[in-house]
Amino acid sequence: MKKIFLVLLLVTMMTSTKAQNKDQVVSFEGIGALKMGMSKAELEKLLSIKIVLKHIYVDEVYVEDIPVKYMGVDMVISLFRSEDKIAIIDGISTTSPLFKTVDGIGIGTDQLTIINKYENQLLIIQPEYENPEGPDVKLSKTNSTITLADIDNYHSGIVFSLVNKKVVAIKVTLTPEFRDRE
Amino acid sequence: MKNFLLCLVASFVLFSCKQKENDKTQPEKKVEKNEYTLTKDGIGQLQIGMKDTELEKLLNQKFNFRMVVDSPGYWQDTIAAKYKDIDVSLYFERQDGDSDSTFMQLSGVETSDPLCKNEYGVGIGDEKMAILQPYDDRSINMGPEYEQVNDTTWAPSKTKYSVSIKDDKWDREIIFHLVNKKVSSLGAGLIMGD
Repeated sequence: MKKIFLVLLLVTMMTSTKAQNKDQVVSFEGIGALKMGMSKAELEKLLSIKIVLKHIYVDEVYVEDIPVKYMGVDMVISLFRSEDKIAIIDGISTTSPLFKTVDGIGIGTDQLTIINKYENQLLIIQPEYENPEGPDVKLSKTNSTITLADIDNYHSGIVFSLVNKKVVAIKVTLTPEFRDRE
Repeated sequence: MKNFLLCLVASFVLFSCKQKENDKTQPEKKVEKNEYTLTKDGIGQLQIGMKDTELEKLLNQKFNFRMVVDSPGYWQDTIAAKYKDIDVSLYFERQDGDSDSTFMQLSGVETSDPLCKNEYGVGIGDEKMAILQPYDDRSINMGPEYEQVNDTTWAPSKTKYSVSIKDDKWDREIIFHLVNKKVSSLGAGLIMGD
């Protein structure tokens, strides 16, 4: 009886760990339960919050970033104006080590690991620009991004921001530039 | 004495491992250029932007732009040519010249010959990581190439892959084509759409 109880306990623990992991998975669809294309109303219901828009349907700006807490972690949700749903999720950003892709890529992962892990996917490596608005624009020696494109449609991607070749932020986005492939 | 010797051997092994690791992370050094060196501007004397007449003179070959002649609306053509000891594919685009005339301009060049290498000595048979290492500060696109499955469908290839390295002005690129993870051809060209 004691043994059965232990096995049951183990199975329950494993199931809950698995469920917890699912909520922390970064994919082309989003991060955990936060899904790309989700409406403002759905987001409010999921996070039990009320979002007051400052730009969308207020002025001419069609996008705005909303700081939210998901699983106790600070995240930024990018909303895009929508005709029928007021606003939909257009991007989800995190700097928390809690969230990883199913392949285990997350905060702290190095560039080489990403390149080797996604050997058969489309990757775009780009150094970032320093002082992009200023007169002396130059490429950064430390900051870069790697965009992992959804090879099935190229309309969504996961952007890893790197400093000194280590991931410091992750963003799931709907519309990265894939100029050469489309 | 035995212990001392063992320590010495262990230190030597550790040191050589560390050295190897450092070598791996060091950027590749540029090799001496020759007539087959690939840069973003072309291969040796075959330079992007050259006119067809200049190239015909250089290669001592008369080009037959069959695609452009057969189809008046067509503005691109490919010519197979011999440049010194290597076979190359020359990609041309039609450009407007003076008054109503047009001419063909070299927009890309490619070869599968092992004599051709880039400025860092990377060429046929090399692997992806060897390509990437020297271009640490460049924009790079890489992914599977697309193969036609049937009349209407294209799918990512399981064996063919390409790596393109953009120059800092985003107007030219070096492209490496890989088959089964090894470079099978390399070339340079204008970035389309710019």
